Amino acid sequence: MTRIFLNWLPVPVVGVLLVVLIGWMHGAGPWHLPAAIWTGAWGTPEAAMATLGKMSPLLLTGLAVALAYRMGLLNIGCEGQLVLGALAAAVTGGYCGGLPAGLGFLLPLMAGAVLGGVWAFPAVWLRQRKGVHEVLSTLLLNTIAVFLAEYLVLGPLGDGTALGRTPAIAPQAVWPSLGAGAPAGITAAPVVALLICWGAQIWLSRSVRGYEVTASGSNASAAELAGIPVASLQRRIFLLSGALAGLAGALEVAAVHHRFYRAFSPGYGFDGITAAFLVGGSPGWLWLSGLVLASLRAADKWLQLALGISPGAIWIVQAVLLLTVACRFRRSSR
Amino acid sequence: MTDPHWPEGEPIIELRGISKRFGDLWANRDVDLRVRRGECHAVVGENGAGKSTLMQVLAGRWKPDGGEIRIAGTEATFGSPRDAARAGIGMVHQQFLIFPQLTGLENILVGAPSGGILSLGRTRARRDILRWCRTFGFDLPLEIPAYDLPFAQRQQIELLRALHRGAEILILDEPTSLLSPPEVQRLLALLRSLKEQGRTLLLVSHRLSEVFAIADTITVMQKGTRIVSVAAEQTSPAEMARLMVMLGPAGATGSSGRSEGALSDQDLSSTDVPPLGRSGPPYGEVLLELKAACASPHGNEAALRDIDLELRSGEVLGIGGIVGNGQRVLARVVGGLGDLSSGRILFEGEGWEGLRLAERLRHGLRWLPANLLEEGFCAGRSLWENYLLGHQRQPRFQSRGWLRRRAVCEWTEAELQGGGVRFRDVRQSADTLSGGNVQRMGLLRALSGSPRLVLLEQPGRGLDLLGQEWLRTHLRGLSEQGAAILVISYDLDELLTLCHRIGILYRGRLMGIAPVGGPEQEKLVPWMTGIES
Repeated sequence: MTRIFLNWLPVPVVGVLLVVLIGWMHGAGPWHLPAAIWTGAWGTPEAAMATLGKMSPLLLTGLAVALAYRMGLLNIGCEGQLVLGALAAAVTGGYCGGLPAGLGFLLPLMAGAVLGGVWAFPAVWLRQRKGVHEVLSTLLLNTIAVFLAEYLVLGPLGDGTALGRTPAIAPQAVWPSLGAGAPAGITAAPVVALLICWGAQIWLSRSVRGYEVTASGSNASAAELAGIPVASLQRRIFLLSGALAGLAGALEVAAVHHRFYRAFSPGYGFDGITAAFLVGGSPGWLWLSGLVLASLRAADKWLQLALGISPGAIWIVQAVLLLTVACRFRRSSR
Repeated sequence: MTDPHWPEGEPIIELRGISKRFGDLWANRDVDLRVRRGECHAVVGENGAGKSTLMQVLAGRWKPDGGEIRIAGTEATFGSPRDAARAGIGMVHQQFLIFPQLTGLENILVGAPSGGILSLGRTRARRDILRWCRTFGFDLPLEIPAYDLPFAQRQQIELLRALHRGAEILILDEPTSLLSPPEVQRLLALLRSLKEQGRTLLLVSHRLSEVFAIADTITVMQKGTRIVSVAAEQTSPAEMARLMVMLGPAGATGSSGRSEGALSDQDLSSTDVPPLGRSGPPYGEVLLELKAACASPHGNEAALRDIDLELRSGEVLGIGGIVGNGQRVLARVVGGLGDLSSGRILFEGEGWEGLRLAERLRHGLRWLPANLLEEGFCAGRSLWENYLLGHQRQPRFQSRGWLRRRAVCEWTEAELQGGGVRFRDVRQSADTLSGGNVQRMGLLRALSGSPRLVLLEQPGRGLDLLGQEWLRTHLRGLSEQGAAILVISYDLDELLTLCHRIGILYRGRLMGIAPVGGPEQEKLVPWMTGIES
């Protein structure tokens, strides 16, 4: 533990210093940029809630990537799976008006997870049958998903306006706000996402099946010789990964936006890759990378207000910080 | 440590106080070594004695934590294998470093300075390499991808790679562990001719018979330090064997079964170890039966043709032959990864066709694969995770689908200690084990519990004398308990010490099965080359 701490701590410090340097070059005082990020993300209760609200899609897409990676697969397709999952949830949620409360609550989430899984399936099928690497297939499937969803909300599934959005979901499908009063208040979604991550961590490290997943990801031939059905496990885990990304989209609809609109995801699917690899693919630590990413994301508009710099600057800051944080994975000389 | 046999003459290599540490483990501690120009210097020792590490320090793979390297009198620091290659040092590794998708020629040229405009340098290099091949009598196809090549030719690639870069000092780490007896003889002849050309050879080996066939000087290592260096003619295999184990067992942990007195001189000299001992047929009921079994080829392995064999309870049956004659196909068929194209495979009279590996494991099959690192080892994972492979579905290690980790760890610890594997904690990464200890772990894993049918491929690979002795004892115990054991090895001597009967595969056909110690044993070597007699 101390070794991790010593290895890890100094490098982000370098990252923060670089951020300071960037701010300086921008003409602001040395601490203005980091301070603005902090204030933007955590300065007010509203800001903190918005930041926390961004946690759930990051946690779930991060878990989707981490889980597939544990099996030795790279799911770069979370973005598409998330978008289609969100669309499925929004459409299903629209028809939940007459249903009992519990069912109306669950149905959109299930629809989102199922469509996410369905969208992951071609990738694993292409890999096992046709030798197409899943990075390529999932990347291409992203494009199809995003523009397919755009077509659908502008046309057949839209609400009739020119805004490119679906009708709002039924009240039964909406996740209630936890804090009374706050308009875009916090829901239970981040907590649920966090519990799913921890559950996945426990399953991976404590269950026989989880052990078999880890072993297959570490050495597929060895796993096969140990009687582990590697190919079918790969299929199942990859579908589960897609389902998690789909669930992330469905949760966004049910808890935050209550409808689907075009350009739905600000890149949560890709942030999931960052989140997963920042913590070495360990689901139990996703909350940490999720917090870092969510803070940076939440602060972008505040940067514009406070310092008058482009929100695009946050992308640079994020990249610089994350690169330094990632340095912890260097191996010692062996 | 002082000794009276410090080699005289001008040293081309001088190591002074070399130390190398991996984590808490000292792989080398204060090692001095002198190698004369033009000699063949053998380094022997138990598994984990630090031989490979020392050679890899010399070849620039590892940077030593202390000490100095002097080549031909000048101090050298190697930051990478490339630096060592510039100083004229080339290494042939135990796990051959081959790029499977590159051709033989590309594999030889990899990393070498290109020597001219692309194709021109290549043509010249090709001509040079063909000349080497003619000189050494290599029949090496240069234009096909290396994954199709048998081990002996992969080794030739490594050797040519070193020579092509102008290596004057050749390090060979366990060069014979995957070769058949005729191939070993050819390699030894080749090494002799390299020595006559004035090259210096450093040889790491467990096989004392080969060491004494070629080495001028022998250095014994133990627990990371050099014990002694002696001229080969002043010592004997038995004395060397005693020196290798003399100062107590190598592992502070896991030494329970060993004591100095337990092994007599005769046991220790690898040339005349007693065979397993025949309890005499009939052994027991037939457990495994192959009837007119045919299977299609796998990789560059020959297809199986009309194999008939019976393996009885309590019997150890060896399958030998030169690499690539269908041994792996046979292993896959018995293991359940390969299908028969015709014929039958029966276990206790029941058809095993179409039964998956997982189900065969439940029937009591255990399988030690030939390339443990590639097929039976999870790099970067802990010892217990590696040891559990293949046992993970046993009821005693789970309750309702959840792993009983305490039970697994305690079991792993007890088994590894009993088997003499050097380790500190079962939670440590399995990467910290030396090659020989990995092999021991794989063997322990395959032999653990009470298996019914054990399939061992190359079981002695990288094992030291004590390990081989332990393997013999363990197999004897298992066979007395009624397990049927199928040993597949390219090393005929190993099969002769381990098995009751030995069959030879030649181009996918079973040439015959001869009882060990019987008159037919003479036929084994002719069978390997396809002579029926």
